Amino acid sequence: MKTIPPVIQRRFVHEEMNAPWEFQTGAPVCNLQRIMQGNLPSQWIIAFTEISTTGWGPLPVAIVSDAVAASGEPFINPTLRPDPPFALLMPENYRNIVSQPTKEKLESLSIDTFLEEVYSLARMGDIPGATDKIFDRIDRLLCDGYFRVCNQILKRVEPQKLPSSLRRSFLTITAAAKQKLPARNGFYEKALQLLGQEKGEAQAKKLLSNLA
Amino acid sequence: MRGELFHFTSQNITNLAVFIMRTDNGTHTGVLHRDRGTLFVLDLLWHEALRSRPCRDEFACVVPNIDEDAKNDVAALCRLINTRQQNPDPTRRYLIPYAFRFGNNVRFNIQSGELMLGDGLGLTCSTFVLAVFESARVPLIDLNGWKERPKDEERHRSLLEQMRSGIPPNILPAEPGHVQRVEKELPCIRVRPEEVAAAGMSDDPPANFYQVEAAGRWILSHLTNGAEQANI
Repeated sequence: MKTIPPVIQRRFVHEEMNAPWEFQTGAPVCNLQRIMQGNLPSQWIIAFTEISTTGWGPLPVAIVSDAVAASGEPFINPTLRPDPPFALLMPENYRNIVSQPTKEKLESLSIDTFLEEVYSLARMGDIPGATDKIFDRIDRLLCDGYFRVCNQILKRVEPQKLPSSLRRSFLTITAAAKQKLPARNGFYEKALQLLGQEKGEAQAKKLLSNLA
Repeated sequence: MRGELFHFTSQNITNLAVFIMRTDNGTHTGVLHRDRGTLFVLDLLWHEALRSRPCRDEFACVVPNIDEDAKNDVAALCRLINTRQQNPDPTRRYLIPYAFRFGNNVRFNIQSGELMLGDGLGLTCSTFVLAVFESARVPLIDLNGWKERPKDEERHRSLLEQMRSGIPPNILPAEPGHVQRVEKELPCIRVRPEEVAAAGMSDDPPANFYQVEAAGRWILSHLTNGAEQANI
């Protein structure tokens, strides 16, 4: 088993959130399903936590798709299947609470719905309504410290589907947290480019200069 | 400066304006914004007295010469402040202290509507409007090079006395500790209410001292039927 430098572990936890990793009492937990599918780079397949836990989801033990596991030490490699004898040691009703979806994860799952609502309000010409929706949603995310979800929104939003006012609203509301939102730069550049096409490059730079 | 942006009535404001009015002993300013067809007034009336409600009066006002997209953001921030101010729990509403020096980094949090006073002690009606616009990243006035004027200190002292004594019959004195701290900040620069409104008429905001001072006097001359003459 390779030794994983702490930096890589952190990167895994913080950036690979497409994988169903969740936090509970500070413990990152990996989903065995994804590991068994072999779609993670082997050097990253490490579960680590300070409280060394292993458990199963609500499904029967034989169905391992919902299983979660974590350990204080690296204990698994991508070629291993879950060890049935080990699993059978677990009480039948045991359910590792870290398999519960976190609020942050639920927020991330509803990004597309949120964006569709914004696009829809924009298409209907309800710009104040769309602006309020953007302010309200991003408000909650930033107040709750869900910068990663907010970043995902900025990554996924399609600026060309928005009028300039709403593109500006996304930039205005995220300006204070821009250091924590790496995707904002890309969104800003796209917004600048689109506004340049609409109003000329010089005017666009002037209008958005306070929001860079 | 664009005098055509000044209006004697506020009925036809489409989404945002800065109003200006005369009071018994001076002038007063605030923001008008339209929410779902209803025009709202948002202004800091006095110490811990923020007003945010549907507008029932007519105001002279300036529709600020800023980009429509920026107006949309400022108006959204005003709606956010209004929502917070209508909170059924009075402890969740704003209690904005009155103070003359416009502190550094005074901002409404664009997300939550929370007011962060930075190193300031509070706001005036004028700096309240400036804070709202700056929070939406639309600065109206550039305070660099702003001049201290003797009449401004006189006005500050007069207002300070009102804070100290209260304004009978309804307005109670502000806490002595706060009044003391505010007094220690004097003298300081003053942006007059008519100058805040005038900044909205700038060809290219943020406007500087010389631009808004002249335009402020021009607005005042209109509010006083020419009793105080000025050109822009």
